[in-house]
Amino acid sequence: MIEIRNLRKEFNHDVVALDNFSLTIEDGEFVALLGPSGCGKSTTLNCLAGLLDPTSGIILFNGQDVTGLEPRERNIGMVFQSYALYPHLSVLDNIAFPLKQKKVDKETRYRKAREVAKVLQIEHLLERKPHELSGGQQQRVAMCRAIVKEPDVLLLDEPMSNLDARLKIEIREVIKDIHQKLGITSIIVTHDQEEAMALADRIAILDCGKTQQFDTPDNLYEKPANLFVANFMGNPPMNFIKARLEGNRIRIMDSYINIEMPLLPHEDGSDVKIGTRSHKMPFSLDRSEDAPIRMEVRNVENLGKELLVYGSIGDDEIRVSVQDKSLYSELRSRAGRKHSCYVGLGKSYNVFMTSDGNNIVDFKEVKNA
Amino acid sequence: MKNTRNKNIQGYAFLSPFLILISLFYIAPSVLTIVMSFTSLDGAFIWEWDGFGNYLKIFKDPNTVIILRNTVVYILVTMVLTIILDLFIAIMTTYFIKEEKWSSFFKSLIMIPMITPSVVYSVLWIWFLDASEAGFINRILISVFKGAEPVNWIARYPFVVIIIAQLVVSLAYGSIIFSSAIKAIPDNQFKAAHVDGASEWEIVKTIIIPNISSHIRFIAMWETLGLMTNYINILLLTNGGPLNRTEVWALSAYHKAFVGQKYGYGAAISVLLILVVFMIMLLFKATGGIGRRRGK
Amino acid sequence: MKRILLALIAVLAIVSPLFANGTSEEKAADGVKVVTLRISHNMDFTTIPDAVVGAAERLNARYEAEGKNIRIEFEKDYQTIDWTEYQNNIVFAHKIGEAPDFFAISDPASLIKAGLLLDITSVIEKNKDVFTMAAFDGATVDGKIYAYAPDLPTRVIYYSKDDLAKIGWTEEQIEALPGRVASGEFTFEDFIALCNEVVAKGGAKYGLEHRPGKGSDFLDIMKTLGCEYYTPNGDLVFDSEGILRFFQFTYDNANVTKITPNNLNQMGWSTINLHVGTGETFAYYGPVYSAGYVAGAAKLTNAELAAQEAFILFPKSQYTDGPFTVAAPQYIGVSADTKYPEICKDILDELSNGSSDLLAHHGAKINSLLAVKAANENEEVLANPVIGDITYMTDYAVTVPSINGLNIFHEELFKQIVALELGETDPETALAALKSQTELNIKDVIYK
Repeated sequence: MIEIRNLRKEFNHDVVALDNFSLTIEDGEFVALLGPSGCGKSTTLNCLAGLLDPTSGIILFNGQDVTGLEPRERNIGMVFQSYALYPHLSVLDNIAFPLKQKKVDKETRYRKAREVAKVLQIEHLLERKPHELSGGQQQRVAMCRAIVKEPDVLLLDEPMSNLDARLKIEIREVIKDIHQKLGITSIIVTHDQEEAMALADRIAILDCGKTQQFDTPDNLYEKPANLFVANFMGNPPMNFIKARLEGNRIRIMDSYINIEMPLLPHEDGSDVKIGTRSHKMPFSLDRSEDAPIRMEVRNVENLGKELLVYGSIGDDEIRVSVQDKSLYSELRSRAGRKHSCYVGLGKSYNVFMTSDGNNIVDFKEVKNA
Repeated sequence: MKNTRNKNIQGYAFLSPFLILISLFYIAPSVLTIVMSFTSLDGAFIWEWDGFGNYLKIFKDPNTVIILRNTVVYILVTMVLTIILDLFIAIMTTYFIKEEKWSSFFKSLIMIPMITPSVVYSVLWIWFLDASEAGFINRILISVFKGAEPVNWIARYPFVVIIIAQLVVSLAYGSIIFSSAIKAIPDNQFKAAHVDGASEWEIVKTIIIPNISSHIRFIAMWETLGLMTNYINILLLTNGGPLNRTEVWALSAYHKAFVGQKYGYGAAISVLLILVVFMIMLLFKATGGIGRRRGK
Repeated sequence: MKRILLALIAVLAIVSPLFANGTSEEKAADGVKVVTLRISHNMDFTTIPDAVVGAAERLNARYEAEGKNIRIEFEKDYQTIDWTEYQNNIVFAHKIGEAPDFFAISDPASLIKAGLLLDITSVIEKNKDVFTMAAFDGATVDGKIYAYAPDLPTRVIYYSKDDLAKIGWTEEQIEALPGRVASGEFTFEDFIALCNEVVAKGGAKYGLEHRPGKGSDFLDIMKTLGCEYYTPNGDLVFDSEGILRFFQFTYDNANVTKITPNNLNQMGWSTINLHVGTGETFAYYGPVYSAGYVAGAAKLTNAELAAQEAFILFPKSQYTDGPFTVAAPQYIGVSADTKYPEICKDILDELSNGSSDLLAHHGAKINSLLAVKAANENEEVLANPVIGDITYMTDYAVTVPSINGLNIFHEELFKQIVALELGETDPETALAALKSQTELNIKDVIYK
């Protein structure tokens, strides 16, 4: 179990990368640190690795305080965005390098290196030099090197950022595979939420050095704690519509809609933002009971599996998925003439306070939508 | 069509002063020197054809072997020591000492000998090593080892003196190049090595040196060429002496030509030197030249 | 294009007067032809070219009296550069037609070989009773004389009278020594033994020193040790036995008896001059005009130096017949390309006769005897405390002809001397090395 308690990291010129950051990671868990650039996720990883010294706070591996220990004393393996392979050593020597530093004899360490290489299916590349390999192969080598010494923790620092879309998926599988086979506690840093959702058991979303929400991917998707998390997760991004809570109704521009979701206590007349997923919004060309809100149509895309309609409610731009592809031409013409269509909030949506961005939907009371 | 021709003529017109300068100050003297080496031109300045006479003289002279040996030893020892010290300084100031102001301070310090004019620099060394008991080093020697005799450093250890004097001057160039090269090594390699548990010495061996290997080769070639052709410190410190102990090839060309007034003979010695320089450059190119880093 | 051409012509017109120079003549206001000659000199002893200029002034007075419409004027060019460079410059100047009319000479042989010196045999022969004719041997080839000998500086051995007094010699004994050397009674071997004695008894720190650079001084010791290094024709002679004796002598003095400091050649002129001037070294061999530098280094006047230092001939040794001194004039030459050969010769004629007092002034100033015999009787010379006492040496003066390849021999010889004194080589090895270098680099050497 990895415990991070009250970690704070300051850099020169009063830059605060992490502020009172705490996290607990269970054994064998795969955790992703997700967030935009500069949110503190790489800093956290480097502190975990021992490559950076925190300004204050402690880090515990299985109850032992490792905060002051060098990287080599923490029994970790690390994979970097740029692979960081040793350019003049062969693949075999690269993989065996950590064992060499531990003074393991040649036979043993080469044997272990070959075993690991087999797991990652690169045993045919062992004699080559790094510059003779493709990006994906280099990343596999990097992973072999990280796990050959059977570390307690595997740290991955944006390992797939340098790869093209297809390779990303390939390496994602490899990482998942390793994690399942070896059961190592793994922490990955990424800015790609799809990647995080695919790999992690739990995702910590960070912004400005603070945790926004630490939960399973599904929960983050279905039950975002605040505007930031909601905006981050899901593709296409969540739609946000300005509204006001009046009594037990939501007022959006001129339309009134009964509140369907149980809400936490709040002040009447609060300004809120309604968050809806594009495929959960009822859509019709004309006003209907399910789709009472008027939306000005700007554009429509035929994605093959569905149509994606771009429009705006008031100032808010939204996207709606429409399954009925026959509506395409009609929508095109309406878009050209700046005509409207109608949408509804659907049966499941989020309500965020404009003041602090928090989601005031009481999910404990929500029946599965 | 006409436009291109005009542009070409313009181009040549602009280049012509430069081309003339190069021809005057490089090509013409080089050709003259080669021609001169086949004559017996001396102080009377009468050009008399001598064929390969000068070259034969070089081979017959018993001093040639001594000079050759001096030159090779001088170049090898100085070049190897220069590279080792350059690496040491570069690694110290770039990798170990992270504070910018201290590493800048050290780098400025080692640049001072390099930018000091050779005459001033050599005179300082001579003063330093003065053979009487008033000499700086001798004074230290006498105060540390009571009753020691003052040592005539330049006459007793001339080879060591010229190597050290040249070393101190050569340090700055290589150090700064290696230093920039080390700065360019991706940080992640160091991080990976730290995670893998590599000791500092292992990091130097496995990351720093292999990453800057092309720079090391460049400096090796650069220093070698410089040592082959630059003799000014030796001239000023020991003048090739005592006897022939520190006479190197380029210096002997100078001596034969300008001191012995045998210009043809000196030219022949120079021509041979240039041939060797050519061969070394070809060797360098053949083993990879300045080299392009392959892969990412 | 036209504009560019015009501009170029304008530039040329402005710049070309800068190239006008050289010997020129103009008509002066009163119709007298002014002849401008150029005289060049190097290093110290500017009294030599000054004497030439002075003689020309007197010649002008004579011309005026005789009604000849010629006036000579001089452009002086005195430099202080390395002698090899100076000589090269003279050669180059001849090649571009800008040679000075008079110039100083360091190596007559090569200049004669290159044909750059005017044959002045006529004016010297005409005045042969005036000169010690031997003075011109160093500039004579095939019977023709190519340079003028303004002086006759002799090379001698210096020794400190004070040091002898320190070890107990009486004033009489000290004053008698030069005479005993001249008579052949006190030999070279005796003198070296004396050097050892002075050092052993604490009269001086060092026994014998010499110049810290290549030069002819060493040839004097070689000659004293019975080594003949030239033929009257000017051929270089390589006398292996003689040279070996000299090398042994050099080696022993520095490493065995230690009367010569073994780092002598790294010391520098000022240190050595100081040693001589203070008596820290007992004896020194070199030209008599070095006395001026010695006095300067020790901050003494000439008179003070003459009081404490004495000069002797190179004594007779077991290998020679008698004592000698080699006289080596500081020749000046007239360019073979001069436009006024007759006028130049006239100046030399005047200098050797009516204006010989100018030569005497030079000799008195630099502590040297003169080639013009009358000048040696001049009161200025007699009054000079250093040379006043040694005028007798002219009777023992020997001059050396212009020797082929001597400057290369000097170079190699000095290298071996340095190494021998440092103990880096031994006499046999040094001899072999000197021989192979001589064989390689000097033509027409006679090997004995």
